[in-house]
Amino acid sequence: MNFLDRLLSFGRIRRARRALAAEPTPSTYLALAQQYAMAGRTLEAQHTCVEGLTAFPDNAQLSRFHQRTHRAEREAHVQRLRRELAQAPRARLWRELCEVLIDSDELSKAEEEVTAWLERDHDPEAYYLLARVLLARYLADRGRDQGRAALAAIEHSLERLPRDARPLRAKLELFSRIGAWKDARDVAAQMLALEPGALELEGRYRTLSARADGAPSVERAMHEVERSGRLADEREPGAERAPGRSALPLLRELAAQPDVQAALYVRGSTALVQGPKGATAERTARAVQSILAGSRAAGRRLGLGQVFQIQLEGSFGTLSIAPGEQDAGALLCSGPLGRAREEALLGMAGLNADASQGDHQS
Amino acid sequence: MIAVLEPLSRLPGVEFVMLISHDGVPIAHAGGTGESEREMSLAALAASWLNDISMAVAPLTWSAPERVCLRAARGTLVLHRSDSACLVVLLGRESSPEDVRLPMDGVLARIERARHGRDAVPRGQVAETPAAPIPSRAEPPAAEEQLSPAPHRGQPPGH
Repeated sequence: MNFLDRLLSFGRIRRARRALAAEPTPSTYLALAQQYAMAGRTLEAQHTCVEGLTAFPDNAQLSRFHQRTHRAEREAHVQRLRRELAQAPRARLWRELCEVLIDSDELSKAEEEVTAWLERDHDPEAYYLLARVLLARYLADRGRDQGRAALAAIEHSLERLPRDARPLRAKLELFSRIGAWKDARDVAAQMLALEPGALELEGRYRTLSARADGAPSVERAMHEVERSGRLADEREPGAERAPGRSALPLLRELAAQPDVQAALYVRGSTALVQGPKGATAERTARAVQSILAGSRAAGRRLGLGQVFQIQLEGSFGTLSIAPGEQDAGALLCSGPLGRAREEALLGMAGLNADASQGDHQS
Repeated sequence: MIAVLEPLSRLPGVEFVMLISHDGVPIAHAGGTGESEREMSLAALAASWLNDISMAVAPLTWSAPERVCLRAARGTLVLHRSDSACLVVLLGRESSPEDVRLPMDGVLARIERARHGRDAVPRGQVAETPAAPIPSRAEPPAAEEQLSPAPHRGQPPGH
C-alpha cells in the first residue's frame, strides 16, 4: 500500500468510525471492519468484528468477515514463517508452522511440512507432530485406515520420545474418543507412571477403570466409529434439544418456488417435508436419510472428511442435500438448483431446529 | 481410452480421473499417485456409493442418477454415469463440480461414440440387412396360406 492510499484510508476510516458511533448497526460495524481490512490493519478489523458480534451475535455477515480476517491474519503468519524457514530452517520454526497449520485444520499442508521436516532431519518432535496431524485427520474423517495410521504414528513417536507425556496424551485422546476404554485406562496408567500424583490423571484413571468392563478392543471401536460416523463422546443425533429456531418458514419459502418439488429438513430419524404429501413424503424423507447416511460413510471411507453437499441429477430433476453435523436440508427441483437456493440450503444445515413439529414427520 | 481421459486430468483442480464399470472394476485412469491399491479402492467405493444411491431412490420410482457430486472438506468426488460405464473425477478442495461439468460430458460422449463406433459398419461399406433366421427354426407358413382361393362357391380352395 502506497503513501497516498494510506493517507486516503485515514479519512475513510474516520468517516466509518463516526457512522458507527452515530448508529451502531451490523452494517456500520462491517463497514468499519472492511475499511480497516482494506488499509491492511487486520488486527483492528478483527477487534471491530468481535465488538460487533458481541452486540449482534447472530449476524452472519459479521461472523463471516471475522473468519475471513482471521484467516488472512493466519495466512500472513504462515507466509512469514515460510520465508524465515527458506532463509534459516530450524526446528522451532518448523514446529510453529506445523502447529499453526494443525490448529487451522489445514492438515494436508501440515503433513507436507512435517514430511519435508522429516526428510531434512529426523527430529523426534517431527514424529510427534506427524502423529498429531494423523490423529486430527482421523478424528475428522473417522475412517478405520486413518485410525490405524494415526495409532502407528503415535507408537512411532513414543519410541522416539519415551519419557515425553505428549504422545501418550495423544494416544489417550484417541482411545477415549473411540470408546476403547480398557486400552485408554492402560495408557492413563502409563501416564501416571510418568507423572505420579497428578490429580487430573488419577481421576481420569478411575473413570476409565469404571468403564473398562466389556469395553470394545481398539480395532472393534474403530470399526464402530467408521460404521456410525460418531465418536464415543458424541451424543446421538436428536438427543440434543433444538435451540428453538424453526426450519419451517424457510422450508415453506423454498417449497413455494415454482420448480421446487420438495423441501426437506432431516434431523436424526425425523424429517419435515414440504411439497409431497402422505406416503410420497415418507418415501422421499427415507430416501434422503438413506442417501445422507451412505454419503457420509462414503466420505469417511474415501478420506474426504466432513461432507458439505451431495447433489444428484437425473431424469427426476436435481436433488441437493446440505448435511450439517446432526441435521441436513434437502431440496428437490425440476431444474438446476441455482446460487440463491444453494445458499439457503447451506443455511438450513446446522440449524439444529426442532424437526418434531411440522406438516409432516417420518 | 487413457488418451480420452488425459485432457480432463490436466484441468486445474482435477486430481484424478478414472473410468469404471458399473460394478466398480477400473477400466482406465489418468492422473493420481499411481498407487494401484488406492485406485482400486476408490473405484470400488465410488461404484458402491452410486449403487447405494440408486437403491435409495428406487422406491420413489426414480431411475439411477446420471450425475452425483459429493463435496467434502478434503475434496470433491464427481461421478457421471453413462449406459456402459461411470466416469469418476476427484477434485481438490478449491475446485467446484461445475468446473468439470462440460469436460466430463465431453469425455463421456467421446467414450460412448468410441464404443458405438466399434460396433458400427466400417466407412465405405453399405450396411446390409440382417440375415434371415436359421431356416430350420423358421416357422413354416400355415397350410391355408399356400392355397389359392376357391374359384366358385361350393368348391374347395386350391383348384
